Amino acid sequence: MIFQPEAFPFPRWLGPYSPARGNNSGFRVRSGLLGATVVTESGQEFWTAQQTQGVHDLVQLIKAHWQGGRIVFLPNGFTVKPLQNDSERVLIGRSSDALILNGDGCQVLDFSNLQHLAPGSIWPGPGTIGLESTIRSDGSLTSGWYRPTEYGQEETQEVIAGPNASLLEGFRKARPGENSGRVRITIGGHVTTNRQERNGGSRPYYVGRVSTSVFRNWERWIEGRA
Amino acid sequence: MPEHLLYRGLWPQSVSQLAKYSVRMVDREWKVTVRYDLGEGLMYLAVEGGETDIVDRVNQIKEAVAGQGGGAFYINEYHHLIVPITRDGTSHYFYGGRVNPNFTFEFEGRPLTSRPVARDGESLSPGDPWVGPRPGIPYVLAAGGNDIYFQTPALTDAAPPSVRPGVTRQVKLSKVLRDRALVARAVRGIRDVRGHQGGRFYVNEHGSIFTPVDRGDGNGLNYIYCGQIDPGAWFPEPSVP
Repeated sequence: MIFQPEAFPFPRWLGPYSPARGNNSGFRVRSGLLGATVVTESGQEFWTAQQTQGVHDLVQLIKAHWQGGRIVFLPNGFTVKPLQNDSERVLIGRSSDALILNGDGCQVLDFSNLQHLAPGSIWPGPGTIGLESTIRSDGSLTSGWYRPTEYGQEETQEVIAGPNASLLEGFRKARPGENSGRVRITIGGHVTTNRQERNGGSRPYYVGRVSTSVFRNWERWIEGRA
Repeated sequence: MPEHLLYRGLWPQSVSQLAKYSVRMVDREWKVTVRYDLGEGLMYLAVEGGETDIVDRVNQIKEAVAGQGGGAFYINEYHHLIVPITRDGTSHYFYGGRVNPNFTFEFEGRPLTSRPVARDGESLSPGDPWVGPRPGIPYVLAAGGNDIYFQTPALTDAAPPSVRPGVTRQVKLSKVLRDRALVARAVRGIRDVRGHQGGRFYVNEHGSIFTPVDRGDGNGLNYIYCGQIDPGAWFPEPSVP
């Protein structure tokens, strides 16, 4: 992974964002390692990112400013750090190229090489990473996020990707009988969704991929750069 | 032709048909009307007497922006006239100036006003049924009963303002006042009726607060008077031209 840090002080990020869903959700820096929690048959495992110069630089930056904690990789590579209590978010840099997660065993999840994953198949990685969105019945993706303000909060709803028939088809394979629902878009544009299983639990499934070029024009959400 | 500006305060948006005034043609004359339901069916009541200035202002905006007169409007606790007009499939709320309404309607041979008085003319007390017309501006008593907020589309800071697509502001009284005692004063009367669950309530042009409550008696919603807003413990008046 290549990581290009933003200049300090980091600019506030006002754009698409997903809050934490519990203490193990999303990417985190723990004990000096970048990774995410994956639920496997044997329980929860913290899969760590393969060490590259970019991962090293990102971890060092996080450690220098916050010791550790959660970060959000947006689909276009923007890397966002929520500050205390999710009250504010800052853009700390941009990530690109291959991000590879290594599991406890021999599992490897290379976000740049997932062609072998068919839409509708089980997503073999963490189910709580990526930007929360909704896929609509035409395959378009919408996202909504909150931002605290001095008077309360501001909520934004935006269509972040236009109609996409193949993505919708993938969603129908992942969640048969449904035409719309919640999804997540990971770094690299991979789309996953959690499917309710018969035992009452849920499991992430692969939906497909959207070109990250559709997430252009997100510079406008960087404060002061509209 | 004067330029009509979007209103910078609260846009009521989705409210019941009973919660808005409307300019309608009654006996070949534009009049302020209100839908009224006292459990015996829905009816339109026309305002008695004058108030033609409000009719004219509403129609002027409706005709200038939408091309035809008549339709809904609101008057809030600051006496701001707010006129909604649907554009591109969504409602936009325009400022119609400051007004000093004193609407009186006739119902079953007796006057009916939006002031906090009973049908016999006695002043209402908090907890009494609200028997007047129900147009009002919607606010929400937050869950827990300790705060009040409203939601409204966000506008740009530019002049004239425009809508920021997809962006909604949630404005909390606690954030605006930054004084717990004042917030506690503001919520007291509403929480006495709605309890800690909170929920929607309305404030009308006289600052009267009323809220729909389902008492579980099978008779649907009852509107209950919660008292008057205290201007010293309330949202500040939005900036207007």
